[in-house]
Amino acid sequence: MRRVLNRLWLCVAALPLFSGCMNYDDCGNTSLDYESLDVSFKATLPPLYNLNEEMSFGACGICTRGGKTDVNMSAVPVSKMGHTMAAPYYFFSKTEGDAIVGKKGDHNYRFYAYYPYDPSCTDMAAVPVNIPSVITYDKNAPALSPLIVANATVTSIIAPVPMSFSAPASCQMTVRIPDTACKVIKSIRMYPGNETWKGRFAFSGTYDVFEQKITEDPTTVSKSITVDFGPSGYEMKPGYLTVSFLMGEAKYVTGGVKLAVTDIDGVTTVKDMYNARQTFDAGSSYTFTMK
Amino acid sequence: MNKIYRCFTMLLVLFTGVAAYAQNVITGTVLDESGYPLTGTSVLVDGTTNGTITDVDGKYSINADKGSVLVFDFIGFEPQRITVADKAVIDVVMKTSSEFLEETVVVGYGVQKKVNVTGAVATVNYSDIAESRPVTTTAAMLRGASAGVQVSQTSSMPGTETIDIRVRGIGTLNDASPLVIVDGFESSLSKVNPTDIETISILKDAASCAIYGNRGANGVVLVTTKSAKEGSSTIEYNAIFAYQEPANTLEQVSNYADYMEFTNEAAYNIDKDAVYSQAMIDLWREAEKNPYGIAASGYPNYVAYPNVAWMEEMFTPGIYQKHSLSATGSTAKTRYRVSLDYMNNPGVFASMGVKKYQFRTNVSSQITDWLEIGARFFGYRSERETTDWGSQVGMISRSLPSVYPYYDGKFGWYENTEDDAMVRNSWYFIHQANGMDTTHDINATAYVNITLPLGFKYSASANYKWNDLRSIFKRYPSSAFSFSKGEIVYDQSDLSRSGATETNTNAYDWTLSTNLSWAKTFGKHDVSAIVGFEAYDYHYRTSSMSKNQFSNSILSEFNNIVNVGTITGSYSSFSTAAVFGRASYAYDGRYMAEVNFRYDASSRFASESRWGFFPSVSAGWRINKEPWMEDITFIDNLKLRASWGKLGNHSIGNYDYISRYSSGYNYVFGTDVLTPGYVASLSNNALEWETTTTTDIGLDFAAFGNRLTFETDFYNKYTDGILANAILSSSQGTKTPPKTNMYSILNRGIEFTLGWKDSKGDFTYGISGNITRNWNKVVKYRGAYEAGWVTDENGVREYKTNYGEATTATGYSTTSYHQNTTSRVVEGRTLGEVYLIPVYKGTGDYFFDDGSVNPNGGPKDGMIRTPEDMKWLEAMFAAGNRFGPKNMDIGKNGIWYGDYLLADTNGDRFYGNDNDRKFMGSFNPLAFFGLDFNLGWKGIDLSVSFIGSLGGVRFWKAEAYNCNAMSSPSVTFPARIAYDHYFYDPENPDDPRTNLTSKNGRLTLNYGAEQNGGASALWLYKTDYMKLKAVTLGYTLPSKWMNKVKIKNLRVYVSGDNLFCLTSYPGVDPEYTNYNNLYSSLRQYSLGLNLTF
Repeated sequence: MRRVLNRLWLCVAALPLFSGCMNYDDCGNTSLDYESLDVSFKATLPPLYNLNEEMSFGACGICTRGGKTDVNMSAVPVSKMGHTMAAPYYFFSKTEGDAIVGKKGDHNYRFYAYYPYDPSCTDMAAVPVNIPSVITYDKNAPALSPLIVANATVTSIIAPVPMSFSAPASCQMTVRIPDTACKVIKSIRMYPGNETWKGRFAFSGTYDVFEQKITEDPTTVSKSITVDFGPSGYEMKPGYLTVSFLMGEAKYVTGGVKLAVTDIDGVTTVKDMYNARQTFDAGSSYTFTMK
Repeated sequence: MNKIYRCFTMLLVLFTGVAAYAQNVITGTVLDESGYPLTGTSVLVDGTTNGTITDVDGKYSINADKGSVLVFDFIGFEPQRITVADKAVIDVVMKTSSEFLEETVVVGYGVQKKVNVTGAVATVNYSDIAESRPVTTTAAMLRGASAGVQVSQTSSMPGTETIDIRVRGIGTLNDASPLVIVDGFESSLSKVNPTDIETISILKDAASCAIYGNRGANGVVLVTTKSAKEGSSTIEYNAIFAYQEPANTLEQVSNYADYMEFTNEAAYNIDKDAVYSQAMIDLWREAEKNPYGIAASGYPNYVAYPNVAWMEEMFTPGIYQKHSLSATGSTAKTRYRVSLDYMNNPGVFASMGVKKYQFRTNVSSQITDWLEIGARFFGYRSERETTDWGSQVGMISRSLPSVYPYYDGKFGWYENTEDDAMVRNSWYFIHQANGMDTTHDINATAYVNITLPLGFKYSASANYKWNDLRSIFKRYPSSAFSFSKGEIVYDQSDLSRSGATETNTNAYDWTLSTNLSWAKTFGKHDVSAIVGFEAYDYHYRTSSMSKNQFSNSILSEFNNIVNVGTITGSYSSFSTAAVFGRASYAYDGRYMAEVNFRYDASSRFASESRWGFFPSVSAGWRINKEPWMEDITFIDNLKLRASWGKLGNHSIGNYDYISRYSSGYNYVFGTDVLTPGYVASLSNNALEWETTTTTDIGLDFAAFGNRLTFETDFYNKYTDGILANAILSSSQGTKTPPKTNMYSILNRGIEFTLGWKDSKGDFTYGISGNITRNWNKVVKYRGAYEAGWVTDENGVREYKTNYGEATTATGYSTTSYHQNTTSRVVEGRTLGEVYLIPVYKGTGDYFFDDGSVNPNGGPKDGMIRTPEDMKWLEAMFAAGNRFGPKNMDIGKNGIWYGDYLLADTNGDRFYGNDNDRKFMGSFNPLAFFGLDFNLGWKGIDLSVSFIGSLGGVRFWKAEAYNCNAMSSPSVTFPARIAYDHYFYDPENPDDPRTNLTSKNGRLTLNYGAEQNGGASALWLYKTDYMKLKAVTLGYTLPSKWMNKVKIKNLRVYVSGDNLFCLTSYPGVDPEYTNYNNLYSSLRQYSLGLNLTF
């Protein structure tokens, strides 16, 4: 009875004249109402990875729209995206043609991105990957920018879509050579201790961002990576010479990994870098200091 | 000759006889409607000067010819004209003049005809109310009595009953209480005995308040105490006995075995080990079967293995009583009234009662026809028992059912060693210390009224008030006992734990007031004016000392306490002065105008800005007096009125405008350590009065012989220059910033009052009601509140809000983090709006056709209840969404079955973070109302009163009282949640405890880290309520019986107060703004009598 009375008088009391902000829809924080909205992204980069001002991101977005699945949210298969140079790293379309656009009612958003952008790439299922086997040393070369990729599934595009990048195919090797190794260095070569090892340190190919799968061009596969210092070589300075290069992920290199340092006179010194149990994971960095 | 003489004599006798026959002696008795003799009624033969007045018994005797008309006239009653016929005895019953009741109204510095009042003034006929109710506070009687006046009782503790009175909304961030004037001088409603009050007028707009200037900004409550009526002499005795009990308490789990099982469940729900062993649970269950069996310790099972309902144990009924005796009398020149009052209210909690003794006398004497002098004296003593209740309010939740409060002269302690060491006996902690607050008040007034020629009148009065409060509080060493073990288990008998504190507070003030008034009627013109001066001076002093460690357990005076603790003291004072005036004009009772002003000064401002000028104007038009309304005879009054004015407020500290120094900090100069004074607060010479500008338009209507009455007012009340601390930059250090006139608040509202009263023979009835709707808005604060998505030049969106800069916390200070951060002051919103995260409301479906998760789907009420809900939640996590308020993962220690989700209001994929908060209403209700019914038949009277409010909300999240999460196994559970809460174990879906439908979340032992925590609307409650404030049934014995025993009036009655409350608010009382206040409001059943002889 009491509950009935409670409800009865409360109904009577809820006169429109005496109602306040009962819906509170406009009272405080509100969402964004839109018909269409450009999507922007917020990147989390691998540790110590630096973006290059000259380079861009490549990205695409897919959603369900109007009952149709896997609708491309951009006019192009791969959108070129500019980016900020300081954290937090946002990337976004700089032209209308590259815009990734969501519409009201879209759902099942899936986004894919890679860096650095390759204009020749028109299919996110075939993003070029290149880990060369011969590198010409350039002391003024910019920091390495290996391929990094990311994907994200979200339910809303109002806030920048967070994308966490990682290098899917390569890792970074840094070799430190003391000035006592030679006076003028000609080349360094990293190779497996046993040539019968079935793996590879270098290759070219493509990366399928959707399937997260690498496809190698067998003609480019190499078990060794050489850094050449040019016809005149490189005159060693006091301290260490630091050389960084990309290498492919590898595990259980038969015979371990060796480093051959050749001077301008053709004299080669071979050092053991790693034993056979060493694993080289994609996205990781390794440093070897020659003694 | 003899024959001629005889004939002449016979003729003379005959003529005399004829003459005697023709001019009868008419006698009779004049009574009022209650059968009470009307002493001093004028009885006049119409058209002659032949008249008399009734005596003390209402009897009269007059010579009157047959056919002549006798006119009976007494002030306040309708005159009666009765033609002399054959009867020699004419008894008359005089009827009260309703026109008279409205005829005068007490206004500022005077009395006005009600029909001439152009301001918004409400009158409460207090005496009738007060005589039939076990009134604990005078202010509480005003609840629901007048439109525009919101009265909330926020505490029922005897002696400290807290009443908030708000006239037309809260208009300041400082003290928003109205000014209370008692018999012309500022006072407090708590210092007036309700049975001494004749009327209360509430001045609501600037026109009526402006003459009070500086303190009228929040309205004025004018109290007029009773004085003797002319020609009357009475002795009155009123007595009330009331049985009182808590109207509502929070029910907690009182079965300890159940409590142990609930606690184990709460631990299990977050993957913790069980707290209590099955053996202990079984032990309690077994003891429960035989409560009066004797345990091994020798104590009964119900004591040794208790199941205590703590709220019931702590709050017990009490008997309230009040006795009032008054004597009034008058002679030709002198009138007096003396009253004595005694009240004893033990409350409903032991050793926290109060006794009050009051004495009041009003004496006035018309020394000459132009000189009147008078004096009023009021004396008051209050004795209030105190305990350590205040420090233990937050600990009452730690009194588990396993603790027996007190038995056999011993305080209990927790009986189960598996209990947490923080378990407490609140009864022990509350009563190990006690004290007494003794208050004395003296209020003395002397006045003189001089009637001068030409309609002038000069009045001068002086008032002196003195208040003294002595508060003594002692803590005694005592221990607690385990009744299952039969030994002391909490030994606090060390004398070092004892101590005493004494605080003495003394305040005195004096007021001098003088005015010259003039009133004259020239034909159809009524003119009046008043000009005056008033000065006020106030002083306050306090001192406190404390010592600890009694030298023995018996002697507790300060000389017997060993260690000196602290000695502190302070003094402050302030003064005001004012010149005021009013001029009124009325033409033909139709057109009225009035001008008021007050020029006020306060010592709280610097000399450059000390004075404030507060004017007002008002006008009225009695439409029904227009010639073209003459034919509409059923309308007794139709008046349109309007007013505008300014009022001031200086409710800040006494010294806020000047820099203040503090001491106690060390400075090192070279090798010397000094303790100089330092500037602790900055000054502001430009500090000015807060100013409130009020506009009012009102309509008064009465019809059908004043049986139907209606009033409505629309008001606009804008307060500017609200005094508040300025915002300092950090470079200015940690000084207290100066007060500055910074902010603005607007209150706008509409009031309705409607009443109908009628009588049919001996049956009378009436109904009246009032309702007020107030809109409150902070107009100017720290800038507009902004929140929303901002897009930069690259098209990147970021959510930005200036919440921290534009808003500040407000509301009622508690120890609760949530209370202090959920109510905010922000420009553009209602004062004190709660700012909370809404609960998530899903659509009830989970996934789209393509299998992707629907971000708006999931549970409709926001609680994860079923495996389908959980699957949806997991998909939401996989899609990168996060869930607040704690940003936890899915799991028993995170978000689990039985937990609520919060909304993602701003669309950033973080459900339930601070950027999802919304403003959701204020503790200030949108509307409040009062409703009264009364019936009368012969000597029987019945009255019923309701009060209520609509549209208020309260955030309330209190461990042990309304939460399903507890911080540790030392805190109890609320019963309504413990016995009805969600439970589901996916590993054991057939568990008999399974409850998938409860709206109460799962029990968890992680208060503060639980998913169902945070500042969310999950804990937001509406405080709409309607209370049956009072029902009174009385019977006045017939005067013909009472007259035989020389009793003028005897009325007996029964009444009930606070009988029920309709509300959905689950706390103690929807009127309580502080949810930590567990001292329930009182329900009272009273028996009383009013005796006059």
